[in-house]
This record gives sequence, C-alpha cells and structure tokens, in this order.
Amino acid sequence: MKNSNYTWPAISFHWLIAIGIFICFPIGMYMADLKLSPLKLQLISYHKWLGVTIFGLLVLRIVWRSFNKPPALPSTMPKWQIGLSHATHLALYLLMIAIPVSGWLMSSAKGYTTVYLGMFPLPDLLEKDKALGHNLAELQEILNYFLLLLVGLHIGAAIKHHIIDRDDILTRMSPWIKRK
Amino acid sequence: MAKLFLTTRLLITTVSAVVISFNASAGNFTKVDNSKSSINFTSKQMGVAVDGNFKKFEANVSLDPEKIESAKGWISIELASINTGSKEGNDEVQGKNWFSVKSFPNARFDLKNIKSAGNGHLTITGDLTIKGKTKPITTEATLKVNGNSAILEGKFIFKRLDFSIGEGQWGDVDVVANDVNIHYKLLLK
Repeated sequence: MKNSNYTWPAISFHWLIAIGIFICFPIGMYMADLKLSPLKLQLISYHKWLGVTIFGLLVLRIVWRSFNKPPALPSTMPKWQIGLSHATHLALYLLMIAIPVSGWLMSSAKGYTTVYLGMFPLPDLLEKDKALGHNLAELQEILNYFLLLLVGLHIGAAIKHHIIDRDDILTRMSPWIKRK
Repeated sequence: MAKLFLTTRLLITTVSAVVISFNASAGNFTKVDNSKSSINFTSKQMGVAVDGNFKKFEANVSLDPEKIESAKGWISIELASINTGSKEGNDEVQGKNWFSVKSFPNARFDLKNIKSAGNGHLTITGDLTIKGKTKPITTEATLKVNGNSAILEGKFIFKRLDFSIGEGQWGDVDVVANDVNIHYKLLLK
C-alpha cells in the first residue's frame, strides 16, 4: 500500500508552526493597543521570541520539504482546485517568511534590537528611522490580515475535503483524525 | 661664544615662555559647554539594551588639571529633558512611578573627591540625588586637556531602585533591569 501521509517531520513542522501562529497573532493584536506597562514589554518580547521561533522552524521546514516531496493530491481533485491549493500554499509560505522578517525590520527601525529569549541579540538590519518603523508596522498588520484570510481558506478547504469530498487531505496531515 | 650663550638663553626663555603660557591657557576650567557635552544612559528592557539621553543640564565646576584633587563642582540634570527613544517612554518616565518630575524636576551630582591615577585617569566620587534620595557614587573617568578646553569622559552603573526610579508595577527588574549604565562626556572650558 502506498503511503499517502506526510512524513512525521512535515506533520510536526506544520502543527508546531500552526500553534505558534495561533498564539503569536493574538498577542500581536492585543499588545499593539496596550498602554506602556511591564505587561506590554513582556508581551512584545514574547511575541518577538515566538516570531523568531516560527521563522526558525519555517526555515527547517522549507529545507525538509525541499528534500521530501509532499504526497500527491487525490486524483479526484479538479484542476482549478489543484491550482488554487498550490497558490494558497505558496502564498502562506511567502507570508510566513514576510511577516517575521517585517517584524524584525520594524523592531530595528524603531530602535529596538530583537534579543531572542532576552539573551541572543539579532543583528539590526536597519538604522533607527521612526517613520520607516511606523510604515513597517502598518505593512506587517496588512500582511497579517492576508494571513488570517488565507488561513481561513486553508482550514475551510481542509474541512470541506474531509466532510464533503471525504478524501484524505485532512487526515494525511492529522493522522489522529479518522477518515470519514 | 657670547653669541652662542645668548642664543641658548633666548631659546631657554622662549621654551619657558611657551610652557608658562600653556599652563596659563590650561588653567582652571569653570564652564561646561552643553552643546558639546552629553549624558547618555543604557537600560535593559527584557534583555534589550535601550539607549537614551538627557538633553538639558547645567554644571558649575572649578577644575584645575594641575591641582585636580581640589576640584569642585556639581551638575544638575533637567529630568523632563529625557529622551528614552520613544514618546510614550518619555511620557511614562516623568510620572510618579519613575522620576516624578513635578515634585523632583532635577537630578544632581555633587562632587566630593577626585583621585588621580596619573595620565588623566581619575576616580571621582560624589553624591547623586534623585527623587529626594541621596547616595554616594563612584565613577572612573578620563580627562583629556587640549589647549584651553578639556574633555571629561566616564561611566558608571547605578541601581535605579536605590532611587525609587520605576516603582509599583515597574519594580520587576526582570522587565526593566535594576542596573542602568551612565556614560557622560563633558567639554570643559
């Protein structure tokens, strides 16, 4: 029998990054409007550390993926769905790169070095420039709304494949779920 | 022979005159040129070094490099002139939990003692008063005399909680470290 599941590292990367995003995103939304307080400084740091972690996992994930092809899509899928699925996945990867990088640049431009876990300083890629920092913050916000939209589409599609098409799209990434 | 003697005398006189005039020009420094002086600090927030500075301060000094150990002086810093790197930071630190600038507008350093280790290396001690609290501090500094001006530059670390800077919810030193690095550079005239 042909194994149509993802490899366990691919599954781990997917879910670790998913959990990371589901924590990092709301922290970012919440902290942005907080008045300056110790809590705000803590949340900003946790958000950055998590963002760096997600980015690091993503780099490993891309390396893994480039040596381990994902399983083929079900032969029952129409061409337009295959095209849309590839486009969505590509866009998700691009956003998962662009969002942490824009955050890192924003932090540099605002004059705050990103110090991973409070111990390992990342290089500042930009000189301090308040206006640029503000623009990068706006850019990151917009990119995050795109991410929200595409993650919604991604989850919706997975559910639709599971319940309506009754194929293995959801279960091959979530082996603990029983196929319908 | 007489001519050589005369030339030598003239040379000695000239050299003496130069030395005397140099000493005279070095003389006693009494002013601090604010436009070319700076008082910077670095604090740590969640492990991130954040730089800031004070823009306004005034000083009164009487410092003679030849008699450095009898120097006198004070510096008063206008705390509301703080630049923490962000507007919300500047607003926050003027409040009651931090400097409480309405009640305590200035920080003041009163020079008590200077010890010279030679070569312009100094150990300066004095009293630092912030927010109604006075504590002795010691700072290592260097003095570079250049004609009729001199640069006094040095650094020290002070503990913000010794002066109740950052009280209440800000007392957690894991968020904002207790140690604050001060780096000053004063152009004396």
